Amino acid sequence: MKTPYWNPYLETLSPEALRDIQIKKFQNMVAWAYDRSPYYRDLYKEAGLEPGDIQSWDDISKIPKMDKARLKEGQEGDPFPYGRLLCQPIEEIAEFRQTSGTTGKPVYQADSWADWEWWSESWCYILWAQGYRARDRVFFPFGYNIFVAFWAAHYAAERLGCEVVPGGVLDTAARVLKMQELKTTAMMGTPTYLLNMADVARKRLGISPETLPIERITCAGEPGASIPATKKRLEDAWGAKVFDHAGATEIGAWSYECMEQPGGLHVNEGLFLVEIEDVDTGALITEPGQKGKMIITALDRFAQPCIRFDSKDIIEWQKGSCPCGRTYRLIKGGVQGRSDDITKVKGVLLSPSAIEEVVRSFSELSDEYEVTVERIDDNEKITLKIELVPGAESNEKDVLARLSNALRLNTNLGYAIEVHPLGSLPRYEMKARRFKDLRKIH
Amino acid sequence: METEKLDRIRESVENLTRDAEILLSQSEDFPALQQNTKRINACIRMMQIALGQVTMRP
Repeated sequence: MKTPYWNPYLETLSPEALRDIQIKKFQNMVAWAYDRSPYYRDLYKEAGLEPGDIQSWDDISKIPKMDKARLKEGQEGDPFPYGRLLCQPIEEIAEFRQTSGTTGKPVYQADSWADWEWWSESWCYILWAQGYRARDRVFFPFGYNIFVAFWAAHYAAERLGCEVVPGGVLDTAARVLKMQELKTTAMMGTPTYLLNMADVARKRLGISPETLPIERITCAGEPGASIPATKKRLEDAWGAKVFDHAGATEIGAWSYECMEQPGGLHVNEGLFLVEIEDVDTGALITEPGQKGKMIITALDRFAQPCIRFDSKDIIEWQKGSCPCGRTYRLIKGGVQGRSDDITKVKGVLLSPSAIEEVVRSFSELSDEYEVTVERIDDNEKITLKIELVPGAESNEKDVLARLSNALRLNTNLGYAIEVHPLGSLPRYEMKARRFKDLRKIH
Repeated sequence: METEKLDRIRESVENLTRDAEILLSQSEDFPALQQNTKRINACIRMMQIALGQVTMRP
């Protein structure tokens, strides 16, 4: 098949036709949840709403938003463990997953078999857009477990006709060796883990990762693959094209980078409805040029719906269309951070991804770093811990001066920079936690 | 996509849906038929979603 689109119909539909589908599906989803879930019914009744009240695009914002706290509240009671959120009989639930719980108690996610098919369907858009085809042998260096991570990608790759190699319980070195043995052509992982994997290949196995026949890599879990300096590190390390995508357990795989790599991700508007809201005022942002937080609805997920979910992801509409021909709108630079990560230090807004962009642009620094923000008496202090790569030690003074300047230029803040021995900072397999705001603890 | 082609595709999916419903209604006490028909139904639903259709009603 020569088409660059997984779905030549939806992905090229006019914006007006897309909006028409979205509003019809949104109305249906609200009615479905009201009818089937005691939690949603109470929530909407308390807001004085009935499904018939959603008549037009402007009515969407009347529907109360969901967030993790509300999901957890809705999961209290029966049927265990999904509670009053569940919209289908428990006998119809085929798959359990849960959120990582890094921000508190996890949310349990119930999916019927059809919802699970839908999950992998949403991944098919991603993989096809990024050039995966039946000829690919795809390696999954991922511990198949209760977290959704790359499960749906595994089944999507199968659906595309790819040959799938599950790298489950193998350790990192064994995974690299298996990829070398099988000449795998594609793989997926978090940017952090894939950089770590390249390091293990070089240092423990004496294998240059760029000599392996990996042609394309799809990343998830962290903003890294949309941060140019991190993407470049990954592409240099593996000698492969690196693509980003964004998704979440409670939502689905809602956006993807295409082969044109236009500097942003397409929102899968055939399956999801994305609204962007001003973080301070809550006003809807419909034009490019202003960041806000994402409110998202999965339009075809039924057992445990996702309706106007406040994901806390910071995104921004991108100007212009994509040369790939998709009419799905783009979000500039992917997910730029999380509203609960962006913090004020010394009165200046600081985004952890802005620090990553600077650190990863220095070839003299290793892939790992750590940032802490703390309050000492009346002052706030940001400490950046870094590692120098072999050979860079002799230029330490120069590197630190340039790094300090670049950080000030890009974030408008000063940093205390500490150099740590190579390999001493924490390494991560899944989502990295490099930004630590100690002001919130003490 | 051409409207005519889309209409033909939609019609084929409708036929599939009908056939799957018949199969499901005949599959009581026949787990091998019932459970596989449910999977077929899930696949049919993905085709309906691919065509922009509303799939489940309250």
